Amino acid sequence: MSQIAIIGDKETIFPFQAIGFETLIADAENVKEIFKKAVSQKKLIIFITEELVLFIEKEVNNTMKKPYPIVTLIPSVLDSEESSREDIVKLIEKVVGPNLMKEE
Amino acid sequence: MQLQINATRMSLLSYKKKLKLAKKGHKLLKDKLEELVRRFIKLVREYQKKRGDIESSLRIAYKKMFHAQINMSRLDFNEFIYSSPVEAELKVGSRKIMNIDVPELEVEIKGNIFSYSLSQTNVHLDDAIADYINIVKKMLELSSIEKAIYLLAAEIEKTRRRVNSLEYILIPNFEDAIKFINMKLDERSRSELTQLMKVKEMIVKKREENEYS
Repeated sequence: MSQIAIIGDKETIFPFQAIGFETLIADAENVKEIFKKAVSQKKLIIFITEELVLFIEKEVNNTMKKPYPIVTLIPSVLDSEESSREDIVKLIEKVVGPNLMKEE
Repeated sequence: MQLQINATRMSLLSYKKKLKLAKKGHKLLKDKLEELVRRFIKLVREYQKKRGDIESSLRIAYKKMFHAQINMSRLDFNEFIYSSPVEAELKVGSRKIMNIDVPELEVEIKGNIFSYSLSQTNVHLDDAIADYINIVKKMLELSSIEKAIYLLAAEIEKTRRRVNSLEYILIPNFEDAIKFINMKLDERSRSELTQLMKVKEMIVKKREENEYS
């Protein structure tokens, strides 16, 4: 069984199965259970689409303190706009203060 | 804060030693904090660059896969997915950034993915699959950087708390204690001096009385 799981809608994640990821199809209602299941199965990396992560922010934040699993967001097929990585931006502001990263 | 202090020379010495140690530790921790923040910013820059890169290439790959999908029958596509002999094997290593264990990930795609029927698939699929494999490798790199950022942030917070507690609580406390003991000792020596002066006065007076009598 693969140590890499990918959670999202079917259209986005289905092709990843061909590459050997474990695909877990989820929607807004059952994403919490599926994410918990993936964590309890000791997956090392969990990719999750940006739309679904909104429903399980708390669970995802809990995993951030531990070395594993690593949760990484990916864009889904459906959203076409540029994603805003709110949590990373917040983290930066907390650590180094605002305005430090904007000068680029 | 009021400390329980024994106003003796011994404790004065020990407080001076403690103060010196605390100042040394404070300086070291502050240096560590600076270095951590520097590395953190470097990682974040790298992350932002890679993230944008991956997102755009992932969107292109989605489109390619979509093209492949609409040019094939659903059944053929599903067959391709389920019959793929490929396995993604994850290699987990770790490297150290400022003594923090940061995971380093590498994925090995095992098996030949191009082992599907050529007559039932189309050229878009070949293209899309090649893209996917490239992107997956980059995605794992991104994952490890992201984790490193989170771990560094936690360490920075911890170090900052230590620096602050040293700077604003421990060091002022020691300084207060030293000041207090110094004052107490001075006071004691003054009172001893006056006592001595008084006693001497009395002795001199007595002696004079004895001489004249």
